[in-house]
Amino acid sequence: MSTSRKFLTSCLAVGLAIAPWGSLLAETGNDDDSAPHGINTPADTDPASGDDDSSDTSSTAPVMAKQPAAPDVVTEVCDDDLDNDGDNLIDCEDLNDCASFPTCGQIQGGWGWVISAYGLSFAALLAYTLMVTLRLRALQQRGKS
Amino acid sequence: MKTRFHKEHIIGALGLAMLSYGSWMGLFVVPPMSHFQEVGRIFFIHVPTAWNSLLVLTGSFILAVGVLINRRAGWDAALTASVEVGVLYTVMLLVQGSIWARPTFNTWWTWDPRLLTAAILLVAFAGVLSLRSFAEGRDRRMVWTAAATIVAYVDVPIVYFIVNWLPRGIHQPHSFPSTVSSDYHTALRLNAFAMLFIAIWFIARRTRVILLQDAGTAMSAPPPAETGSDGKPMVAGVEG
Repeated sequence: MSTSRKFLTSCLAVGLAIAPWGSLLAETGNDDDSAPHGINTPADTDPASGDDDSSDTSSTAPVMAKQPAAPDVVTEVCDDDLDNDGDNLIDCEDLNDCASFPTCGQIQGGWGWVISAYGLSFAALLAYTLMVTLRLRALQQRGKS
Repeated sequence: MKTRFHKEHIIGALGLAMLSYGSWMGLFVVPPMSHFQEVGRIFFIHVPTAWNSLLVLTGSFILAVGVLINRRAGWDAALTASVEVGVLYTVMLLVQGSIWARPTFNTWWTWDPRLLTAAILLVAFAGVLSLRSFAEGRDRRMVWTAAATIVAYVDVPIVYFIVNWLPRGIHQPHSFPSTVSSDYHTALRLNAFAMLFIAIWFIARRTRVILLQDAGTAMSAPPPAETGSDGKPMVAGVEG
């Protein structure tokens, strides 16, 4: 491989290593912009409704409600048939919040997945064993001759 | 032709035997998990692979520090071998995870924090190997590989602890023997030690290959240019 191609490969690898951090930061840093309609934020709460679950700021200062306040920490409740976080995904459809919820996993199939996982793992170990062993044999033969 | 027996084969054979027995237990002996049913048996290869991936890369970090201190070719070869085995285990880990995720979470991939950091781990250490092939000169290659390994290693504790820092992903927070059914302990531990022993065997074998390759390269390289009495290189035996 030429030097320039090796350099380009290295740059690509470093770039790929750095790029995903941007998406992670973007996901954690843009909650205000990405909040879809329907999220129960203090700004959306009607002060006249007397809803005890809402923030105290709604009853004390209506002017404050116009300010761009940080939204409540709203996550999907995974078994109430409601879209709690306003992302148009209800309960188990909301993979970000409910994927690990015990009743959400839709187990499809069985042994096929297990055999695939074990088979590919053993195949990878065997392939690496063969690669190293054959290479070692070749080098030892070359050393003797 | 008599072939010399290396002691690492004992560790490799032990690892193979333990992996066979542990996998047999995980596949056919332990009861299926209550929710995941048979698919949950992937757990017995996935979790030991994950542990050992991080462990092997931790070994790489230690070797990298050693290389920077002592600059020995043997340490450099072992470092390269362990990074390579770490990358192999990380690839296996991600493939097993995808196969696990498809039936249980209905997706091959999601931007879960641990998945993302594990993918970064793979790319970072693959980058170390790529950088090594790019570097020219034995000393430079040695130092670059060690330094890049130390930089890439920053991601290892992040992968390990991120389930506690950002617990909203599909990975649950850390488990402990007290939080896992005792039915699963033996199969998990057998496979964990098996994967470790196989990794040691791989690293020992691969180290030998790299050292032989380096020796072959050194022998086939052109001899250093003769220098004249004034220290300048000679051209066709004539002092320059």
